[in-house]
Amino acid sequence: MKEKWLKDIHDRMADHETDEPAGLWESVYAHLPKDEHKKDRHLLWLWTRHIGTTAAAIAMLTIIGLLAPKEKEENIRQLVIADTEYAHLVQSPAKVPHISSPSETITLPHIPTTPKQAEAATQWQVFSQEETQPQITLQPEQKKQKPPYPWEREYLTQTPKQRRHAKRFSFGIYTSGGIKYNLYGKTMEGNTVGASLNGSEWKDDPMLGIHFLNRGKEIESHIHHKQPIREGISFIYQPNDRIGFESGVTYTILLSDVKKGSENHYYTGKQSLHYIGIPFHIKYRAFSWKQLDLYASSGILMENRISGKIEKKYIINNTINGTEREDISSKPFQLSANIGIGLQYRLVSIIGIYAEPGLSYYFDDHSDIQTIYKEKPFNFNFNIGLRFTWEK
Amino acid sequence: MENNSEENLIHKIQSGDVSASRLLYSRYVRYLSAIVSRYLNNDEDVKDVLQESFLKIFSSIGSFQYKGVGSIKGWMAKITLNETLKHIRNNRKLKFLELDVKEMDRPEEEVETENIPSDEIHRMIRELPDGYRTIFNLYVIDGKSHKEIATLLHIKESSSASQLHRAKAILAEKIKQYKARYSSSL
Repeated sequence: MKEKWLKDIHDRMADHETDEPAGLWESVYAHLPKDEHKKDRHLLWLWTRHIGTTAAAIAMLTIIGLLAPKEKEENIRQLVIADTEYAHLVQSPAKVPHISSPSETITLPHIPTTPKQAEAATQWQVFSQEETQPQITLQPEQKKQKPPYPWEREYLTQTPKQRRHAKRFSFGIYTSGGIKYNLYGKTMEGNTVGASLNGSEWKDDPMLGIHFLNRGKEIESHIHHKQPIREGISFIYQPNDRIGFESGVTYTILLSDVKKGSENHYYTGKQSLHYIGIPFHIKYRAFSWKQLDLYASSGILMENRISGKIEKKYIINNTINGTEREDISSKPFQLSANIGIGLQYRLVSIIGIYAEPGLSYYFDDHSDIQTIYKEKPFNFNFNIGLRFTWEK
Repeated sequence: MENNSEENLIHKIQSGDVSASRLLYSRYVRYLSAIVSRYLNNDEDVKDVLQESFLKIFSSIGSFQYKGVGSIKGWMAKITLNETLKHIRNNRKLKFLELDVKEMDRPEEEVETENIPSDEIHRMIRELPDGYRTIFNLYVIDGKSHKEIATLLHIKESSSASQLHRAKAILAEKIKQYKARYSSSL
């Protein structure tokens, strides 16, 4: 039989209420299964729309970007003159050295300055507007800091938010690797007409000899495509915070090792193809955190083969029967489309290093030379490079 | 609350209406918080267990059959208690002190609780040492038998009985001390 006090405790505690823990609903809400699906679906929709828009607008926007009038005359570099020590020069134009042509480089008369100021003012260019009196652009100093380079000054004295609104140009160099690809196949060599059974008879045409000697035998052909070696330089124009248009030049070498024949009679070859290409990409900066930028990139690469050769070695009866160097004459155009994401880390104010893994699809180039692009049109690649960025 | 409105609310939640879920949450969160917090005296643990309980409630509400007033409340309480015990088992919060045989012979205390506020009772129960607190709650407030407790906590029935005896003694002592402190105001 329960004691009275326990019954009292039971009755009162059974329906007792206490305050809910702070933030409980938020945690529950965050983990609600239905909400998660909605969130995921929404996110997927957003990204699909983003990628779709970006991909669809590549050609158009890239062309517009390239044709857009240049921001300022890039021949002229406007020097930001640091402080009053130089300002007085401007105020009394007579002191300014006379120049006759627009892009002549002149040196300022020596004025006692701090080393940094001296560095900044060593050389400057002036443009003339059909007047004898050259005009100098002056920007009065607003802050005490005097960093060494004019563009850096602009860059550093602005708050990070302001900085991002400036238009930026980047120049980058990069190298790229893809993945290896081996193609291995076995075929049966058919019967070919031949006159002689002796290997030495084939000196003039060792290939025919190999075919003949291999008739009826199983032929193995190996092609080992090495990963494309690509170096490139790129130029990026960023009209705003988020978007960048990239172009540049690439140089790609495709190397492949070929072996075809049977165990005793075969040829080996080293094939090398050289391409020059011009890429067009749109880059979208997704988000940044401290020194890191994460961006998405998509675009096309237009390459053209500029040279190709294959060095063959003929083996008959396991001895070298001849070598041959053959130029590959076809110079097809190669188009590829690619998308990727990139991570860029800003080392110092103007230099960043980046890594861009990406996926490429190489369209058929309608030539009959076997390349890694043909065998594996979908290729994963990984670019790493350095980027120099400056602002106007 | 009316049968209709609560039944409707449950149907809305079952169809994915999040604001309806929020409403159900608001209606019963304090009740469920009281349950968990009389078992667990660490507030972080209370929040964790409540979160798990609500997620379980909302994920399995699809299979809930409305059976009249109070059915959803009872169902939610059951899920919450299960989660609480799961936490206790997993976190080994069942430390029992060795019972002195002599204490077992002492007759059980009788104390007066009617004038003590419910919040105080709740607080005193929270202050009980881990294992005793669990057994006291399960037996006295949640109406489990020693056999059921033995199954739930993987202990012997006799352990359950003796620990309950000790728990009652500790709580009775707390009540006496409380009354002694506040006797002038009661």
